Amino acid sequence: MQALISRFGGTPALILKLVFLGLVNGAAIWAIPALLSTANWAMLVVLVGCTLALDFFLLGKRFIPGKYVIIGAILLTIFQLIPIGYTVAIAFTNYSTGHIGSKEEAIDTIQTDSVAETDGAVSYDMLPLYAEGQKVVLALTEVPNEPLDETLTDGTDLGEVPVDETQTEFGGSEAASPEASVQTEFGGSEAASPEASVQTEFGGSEAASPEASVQTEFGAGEVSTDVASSEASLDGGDMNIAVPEPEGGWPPTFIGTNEGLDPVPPGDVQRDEFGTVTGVTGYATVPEADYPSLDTTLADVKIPGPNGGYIVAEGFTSAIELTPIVVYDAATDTFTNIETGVVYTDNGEGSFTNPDNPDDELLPGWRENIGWSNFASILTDPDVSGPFVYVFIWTFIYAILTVLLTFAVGLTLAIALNKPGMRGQKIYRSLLIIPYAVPAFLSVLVWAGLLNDDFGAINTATGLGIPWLFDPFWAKVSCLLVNLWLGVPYMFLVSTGALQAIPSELQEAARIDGARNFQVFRLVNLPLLLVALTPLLVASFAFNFNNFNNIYLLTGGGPALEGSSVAGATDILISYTYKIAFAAGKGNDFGLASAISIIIFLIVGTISAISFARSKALREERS
Amino acid sequence: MSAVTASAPPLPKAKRRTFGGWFRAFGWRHIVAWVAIAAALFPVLWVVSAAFTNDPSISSSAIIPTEPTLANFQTLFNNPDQPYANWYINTMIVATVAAVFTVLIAAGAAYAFSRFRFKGRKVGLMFLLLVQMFPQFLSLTAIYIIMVNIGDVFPPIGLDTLSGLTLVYLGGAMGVNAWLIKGFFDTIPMEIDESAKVDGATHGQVFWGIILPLAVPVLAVVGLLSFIGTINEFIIASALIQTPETKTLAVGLQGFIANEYSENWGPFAAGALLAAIPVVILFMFLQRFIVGGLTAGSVKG
Repeated sequence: MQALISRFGGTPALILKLVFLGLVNGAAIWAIPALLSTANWAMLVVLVGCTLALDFFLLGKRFIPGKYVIIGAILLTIFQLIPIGYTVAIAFTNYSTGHIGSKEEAIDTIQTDSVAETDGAVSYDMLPLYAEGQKVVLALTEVPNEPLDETLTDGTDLGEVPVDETQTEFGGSEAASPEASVQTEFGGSEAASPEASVQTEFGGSEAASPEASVQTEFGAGEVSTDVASSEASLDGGDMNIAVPEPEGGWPPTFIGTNEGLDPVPPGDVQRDEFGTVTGVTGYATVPEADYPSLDTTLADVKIPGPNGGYIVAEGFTSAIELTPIVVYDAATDTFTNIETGVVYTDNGEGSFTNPDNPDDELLPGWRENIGWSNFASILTDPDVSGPFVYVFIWTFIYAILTVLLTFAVGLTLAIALNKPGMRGQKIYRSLLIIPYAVPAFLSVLVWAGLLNDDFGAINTATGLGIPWLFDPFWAKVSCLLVNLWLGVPYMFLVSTGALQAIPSELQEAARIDGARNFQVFRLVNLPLLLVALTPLLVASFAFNFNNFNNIYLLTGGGPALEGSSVAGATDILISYTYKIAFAAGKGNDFGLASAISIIIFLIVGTISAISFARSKALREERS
Repeated sequence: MSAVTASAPPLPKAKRRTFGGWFRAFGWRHIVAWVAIAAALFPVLWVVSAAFTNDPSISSSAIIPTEPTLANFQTLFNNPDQPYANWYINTMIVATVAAVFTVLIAAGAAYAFSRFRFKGRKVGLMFLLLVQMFPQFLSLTAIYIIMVNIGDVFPPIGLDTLSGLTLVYLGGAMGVNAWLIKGFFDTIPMEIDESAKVDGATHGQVFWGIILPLAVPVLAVVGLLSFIGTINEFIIASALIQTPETKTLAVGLQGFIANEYSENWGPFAAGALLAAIPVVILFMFLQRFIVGGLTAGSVKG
């Protein structure tokens, strides 16, 4: 005993503990300035609280059991309790695509985005240049309204088209733009966070895409020049390669900064043979390698224009003067449309809307507490409640049928194999539980292939030609069948255990009393089995109620359900919630998803609570 | 046995075991067993066969491939867009680390609740049960945002990292596992602890040197269930992990076949086979404990 005891504890353990605490405290102290500077109070409180708790319990001798619980408790707090609290909080907000930032941010974005081309304004050919100290300025050359040179204009347009698209997508107000690919779906939720540094954190996928788009823009610009030159050469004749100076001179060029436009003397402007401005005396050209990093700088450009609007960059090669359509009045907290005179007011649900037409709203909105609206819309809004009720009912059918079917088959197998003197029982049992041993996600993915209606083995082997996964009815059958395959081994194991625990005297006594085989089963075995197995059946119900993997990996919740862009015919509540939050075509609605999460919790929690309350473990603990 | 005599053929029952009698007693059981085994194993055999068949069409139905080949495995490991080897290593690391720490965290909590009497003990136990009823993935959105915040300050454990993912999994480590292990600890007599303490053992030495070694069966079950649970986990990993090299098997393989199932079928089967093998072996190895653990709950009640 002494040797055993001395092996555990003593100096090495103490050193280990101190090193661990040193690391944690060091990390905490290192992080505090960063958290202070970003005013991330919530995380600061959690970090300091957890670190102090760790120090207190692990170093102190006040409360011994605390030493054994504290690490688990901290992880539980950060990754279970706080998320639960946060989920509840989100459920009462309109947190969703278009309602992500604060009201101030929304007002800023509306002012920046709700713009139109200024009447009578000209567009500009743009050339970014470096002033002293690498400060970016723009050489802006007016593009005459009557195209001076068609090929040139064409070329510029070619360069601009893709730029426009990407700008709307990435620079636009709704950073959480609905995208088809999985990566961007999560890009949406990432952008959902109010933190500015999120973009950087995302590293891999999201940060990569703007960069890629920059490449494309840049490339497109380059290509356009080639197209221009080749077109020019094809046209031949009067359109020669070189463009001569038009009568009346070149259109004026300006140096634009956010302070204003500054005319450049014509002699200081350098041009190539197409008339395109290539440089301005006194400014350095921006090397090609710097172009990708220009994107963010150009986004901030807002040059007061000659016609009352302001000039913004469009891509790398052109700029245009824009005028706001709506004007914000801080005193009344309203936006007014300059053209139509419509006044948009705060509707109390995180949007500026036209009081006469609630659907006419300015985007984006902001995050706002909306009370029970999410829960109410589940009950009353037909767009939400229709699919919800469908999914809700199917979730129950799915979970209940799964439990009944797996239990029936598992019990049958257990009865068949539970016979003293039967040969091969051990082998049979080992083979039968193999589906239980294979990781379930793999099995479901394999079944998705087997059930494919074109090339799946089930259809090719049987020639049935059933649309297993693409018909609402058969997709449901498939979900149940696959879950049956997955669940039977477990039910077989627990039923065997329960059967063997039934005293054989009871069965013999019943036989002596004249009961037949089936009567023995029905009147003696089954009631005893049900008493023993009910908690496990309830647990199985709760598990399958939230069996996300089986549904999502088999059918993806599909096939699509009529009348809903989100819910599919086989979606259960949890996969439906997941799609609402992360994968829906309409964007991300975290508020509604959280509300449904809470409903799921209430259902499963109630059922589990009843079951737990009856279980033995709890009764023992109470006594 | 009246049911047997009622329908028995009019043959003299000289032998005790006619075929009919054997069939009624045992034969049908064998038939049921073989039918069930066929249903249970046919997808498994089919995947094994597909893994070794170099046939792009998924419908090749020969159970034993006529020309076994390793081409699928080569394809699997030589596709830089689908770094299967990374997924495999990631999954095994995350699942192993999560399993080890889940056991330690749950055993620690179980020790505290089983061996110490303190204020708030019962409340704490009830609380663990209650919290467990709210599965982690229901608060996925919140977890995601929390990970973004953590990543801002501590990038190595933030979003899109395996260490961050593991920490999230460990957040659900206590709960039911602590209850399960506590139930086992409660059956270890307190006298053992006390005699060790008389010999001068500290509470830490009792925990590491006496209680844990005695509880190996239940720890193995908790560890294995946690290991398998982590390998199976899809929803949280798919939300938190973005980079292809950082994905786990569940997320990676799902994407592997999500769009072009028929084309990737062979390599997928090879990948599924390799992923399943260690888990199945581990399961069979610990089968005794698991079956015992599963049925213990049912027959006690």
